[in-house]
Amino acid sequence: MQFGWIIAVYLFLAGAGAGAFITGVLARLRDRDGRLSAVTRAGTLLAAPLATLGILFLVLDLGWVEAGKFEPWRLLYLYTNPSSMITWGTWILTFFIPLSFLYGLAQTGLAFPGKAFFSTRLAGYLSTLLAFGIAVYTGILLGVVKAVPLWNNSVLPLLFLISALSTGLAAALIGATLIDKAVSARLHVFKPVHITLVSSELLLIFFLLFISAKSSQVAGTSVEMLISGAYSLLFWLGVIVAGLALPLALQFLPAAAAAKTGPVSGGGQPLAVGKSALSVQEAAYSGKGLIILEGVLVLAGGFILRFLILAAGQPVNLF
Amino acid sequence: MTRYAMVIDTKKCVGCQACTVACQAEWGLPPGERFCRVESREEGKFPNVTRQIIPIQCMHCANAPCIDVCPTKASYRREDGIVLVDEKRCAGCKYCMVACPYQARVMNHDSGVPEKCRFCYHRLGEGKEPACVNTCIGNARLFGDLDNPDSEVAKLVARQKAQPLRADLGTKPSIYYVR
Repeated sequence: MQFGWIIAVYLFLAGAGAGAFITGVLARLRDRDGRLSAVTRAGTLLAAPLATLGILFLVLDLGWVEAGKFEPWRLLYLYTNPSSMITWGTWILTFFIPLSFLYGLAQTGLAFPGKAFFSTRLAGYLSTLLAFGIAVYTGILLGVVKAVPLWNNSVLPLLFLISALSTGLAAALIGATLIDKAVSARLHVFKPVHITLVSSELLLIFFLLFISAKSSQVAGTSVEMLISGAYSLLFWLGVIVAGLALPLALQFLPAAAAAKTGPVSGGGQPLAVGKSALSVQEAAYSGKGLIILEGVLVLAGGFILRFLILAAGQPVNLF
Repeated sequence: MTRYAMVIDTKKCVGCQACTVACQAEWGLPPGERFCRVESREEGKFPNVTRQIIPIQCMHCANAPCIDVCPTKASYRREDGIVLVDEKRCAGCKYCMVACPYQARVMNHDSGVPEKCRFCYHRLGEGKEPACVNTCIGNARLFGDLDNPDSEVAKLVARQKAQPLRADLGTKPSIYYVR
């Protein structure tokens, strides 16, 4: 399809950026004693750079840029057609990027010009709303295309929303772990969210493929490309195994590992003194390492999913 | 009012692609770029086989998806029904290429603008027909004004002898086919 890997990169980065911001705000809401502040800071500060990087890729894909011309005024025309989802995205991103970044800065306590007049609370509400807008509009952008049966359904926007939240969570948690080593021990609070998102995503992918396969011949061809054809390896290994099944399994691993390790009391205090220091260190290391591993898997899977949805999109039969 | 339309009698089409070439010559298209393409499909089992040969180009839809999705309003429809692209406004996002069910758009790599058939609007003013209609060796193509009840196209469409492709998509194409 004419939307290639560059567009897939944009869809991924925009979704992850939006999801990272929402994760940051969620962390702030549930953070009783400031112990999750690293997640709030990482999530809200990562959003603008991710989205901006995504837009950079988008611009590189534009016709006049590919043709080697320099005609940036054409970008202004993108704001002009409210019936086009690209216009919607342009407006939403234009406000989200500066607003979310200033909100993120406010979380760190750093000063910036005009901070006295900046309503952090209002910026937070607006940015969260805009973040959901970003997460959803990309799915709608493809969803309204009647020409491509694989995309033209109600499941796709929902799938893209869940994928954005999931990749955003991964990005925010990786970021948090990198800026504050100790926070990884507290990230278990996100486990229910993570499990819900990954399970939902698996379910939605199943719905999309199963219903699409039955809806039209062309949709069936698209689905076949994914589950048994040219893209099947990338789909099963990249999206399902690496991107969803493994991260889901890893969510249950620490509990299983903890149950297996020998003399550990209910409070998690190892009984043998010699072993204890190593166990605590091991736990801390594997906590951080696990977070990053899971995050990278989810991010990779999220990108591959968007790439495949674009690549497998086939136009309707004409006769 | 004027409502331009084309009728293509696929029973007369031999798939010679003269229309494709005439169009390329008329518009000075770069090599490899074409506004018109001829698709064919074999049906049935030997010895009862038929072949459908169907030329496809921009349908100049009354309800064009390319116009709906174009963020810059570069794609627009004239009063006489012809869908054109204002190259000064086009940002080259390619949403129109993706949204067209007939896959009528072709990227011009020199200008960065997705282009398509223009119903040779510059020839119409001189009383001439589009290049593809003019050149068809099988006389498979007719062009005219649907709002003129005496025109051949109006009569064929009125008698329901000609139908658009994928009318069910609601695009309201301006090209009708006799099959």
